[in-house]
Amino acid sequence: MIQLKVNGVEQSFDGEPEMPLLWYLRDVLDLTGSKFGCGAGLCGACTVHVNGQATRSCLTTMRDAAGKEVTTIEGLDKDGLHPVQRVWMEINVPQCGYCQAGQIMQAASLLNSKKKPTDQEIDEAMAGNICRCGTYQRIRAAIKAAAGEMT
Amino acid sequence: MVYASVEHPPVLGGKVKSYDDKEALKVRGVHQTVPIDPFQQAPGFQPVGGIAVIADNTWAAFQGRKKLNISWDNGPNETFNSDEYKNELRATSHNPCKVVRNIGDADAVFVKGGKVYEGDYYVPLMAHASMEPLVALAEFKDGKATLWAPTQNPQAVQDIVSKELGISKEGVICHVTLLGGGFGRKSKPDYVAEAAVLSKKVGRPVKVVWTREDDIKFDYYNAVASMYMKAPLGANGKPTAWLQRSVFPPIPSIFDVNTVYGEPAHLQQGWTDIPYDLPNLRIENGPAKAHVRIAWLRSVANIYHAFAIQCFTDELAHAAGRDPVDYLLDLIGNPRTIDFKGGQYPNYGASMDVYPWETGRLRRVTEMVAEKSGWGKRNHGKGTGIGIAAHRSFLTYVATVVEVEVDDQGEVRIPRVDTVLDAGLVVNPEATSSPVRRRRGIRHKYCAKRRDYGDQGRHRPIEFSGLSGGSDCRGALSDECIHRRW
Ligand code: FES
Ligand code: FES
Repeated sequence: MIQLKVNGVEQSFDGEPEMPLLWYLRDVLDLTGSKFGCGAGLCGACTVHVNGQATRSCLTTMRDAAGKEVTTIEGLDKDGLHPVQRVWMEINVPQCGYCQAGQIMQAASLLNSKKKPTDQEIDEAMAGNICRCGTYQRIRAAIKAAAGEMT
Repeated sequence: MVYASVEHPPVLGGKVKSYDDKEALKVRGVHQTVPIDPFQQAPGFQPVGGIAVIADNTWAAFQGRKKLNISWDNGPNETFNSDEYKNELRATSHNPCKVVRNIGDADAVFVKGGKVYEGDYYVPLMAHASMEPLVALAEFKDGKATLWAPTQNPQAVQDIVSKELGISKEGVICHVTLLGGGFGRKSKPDYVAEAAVLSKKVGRPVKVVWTREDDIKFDYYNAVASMYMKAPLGANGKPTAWLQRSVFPPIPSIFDVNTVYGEPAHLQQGWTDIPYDLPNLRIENGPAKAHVRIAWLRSVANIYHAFAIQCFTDELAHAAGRDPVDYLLDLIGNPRTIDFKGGQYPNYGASMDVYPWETGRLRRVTEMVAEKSGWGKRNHGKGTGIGIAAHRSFLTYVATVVEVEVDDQGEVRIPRVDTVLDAGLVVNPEATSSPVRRRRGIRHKYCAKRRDYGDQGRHRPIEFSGLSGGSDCRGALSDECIHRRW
């Protein structure tokens, strides 16, 4: 039996330990905010926080998630108003929206570790999160705006 | 609800000869496997067929699928090879094809001899690669089907699902979800029909999830195309005659495999409507048989047609020793309305009276983008080049200047892009500017601005400038862009 915490709630799982966390979140817990884009760590759509760190849930097995604290986009803020989410709305970042939960989780984790990231640090932290709609310019602007709000 | 992942035939049009699911059924969470019939030619929006693995969750279905042991009959496209196909298209384009528009007598000029410039342009198959791989949920119950799907075309869903299940259209309800990106792919509901067929066979609600690999492998691609161009240059370096041939597998081939010529609806897309004022012009289209599914992808045939015409124009400008912007404007000629008498020009289904083809508007976006980009005024260092292209696509006039840097390693970087477009009356500026901005997955400072051109009549060009210095965007919505991603 695997124990873990998801969005602050204790969960236990007795299924296949090799199952990626992404499918546990989506298909078992019905937390469908984390998205499937590639299943191979190439797109970032599935990004969640594991013990506070941005992590690709498609490559994290349930075995690896055991004993960890997982936060998904649903748990980032109970009202969906984390500073990153707020600026995301103000700047109107999303187009189709499919990559955005991953982008936001990645950005929130960056701002946790770096209060005022430089352009280069933003580029490096966000490089693994692909947006097919090309919202990159606004993502960067939003991260900068959120950095202002979080200090 | 159960989850399904489908092992499709490795080649389009293939079918299952036999299969063994013993190992697949041993995967924890897998319930059963279900064969899906291959489509009857032509493919249309039918499911592509294969073996579905039905499971408790998506991952178990994926795992089960890997354990299937299937022997395939690859069908009529088994020997299709894209390199050979490219050569075939090119060879076709080097010989006389079907004339789709003609002015004057280009051949009479060609036989006079002299230096003739030729160009071959090729655009490969392109996949839509929507961010969300294809997915659909279907529930077949009491003779009725209810679908939840990201689809651009719920009417087509109704149509194909009613056919596949043998029920009336009234018995098909389609709930449209958020799209997850579509770009045209999700107007082809083969994946929704797949879910419906499976739900009927399994007797439960079924959610079909395609992998990224499925999504790319079984796309309805934007057509591969080969274009051949030919022109001799006269006084001032202007072409005295112009021949262009395009060869591409046409979209209607998904409904009739014997369709090999482009139809007016796609030839009009930047091909039969080349806006140049030339005394001798011949436009041709050659046959190409499709071996994969071909269909609409944003801007469709404009992609390869604009690419060929605008590249060839630029090469001729260089051959003539002329400035590419001057040269382009010279070819577009004086402001006038193009007369398509004697040819077929559907004008994207819009009235020619309300939406005439006005070369003056193409000139204006060209002139404006040249000015805004600092054409001719900026210094370009070693390994840097700048190019211009102008085009009318779906009734919108657009001109773009792109600066490109190539380093010693051959790495390409695009430091700056300027685009001006005239779409007529813009009702929703945000919805217009966002998709234009998307084209810029590049490292530069970038600004978009919309001005009120109220004094210039009903057409208000919108300009989007990527500015490396980023200074003259007063009052503008200014966005900053990050690295190229792919
Ligand atoms: S789905 Fe995890 S990185 Fe793409
Ligand atoms: S908003 Fe569509 S993929 Fe990013």
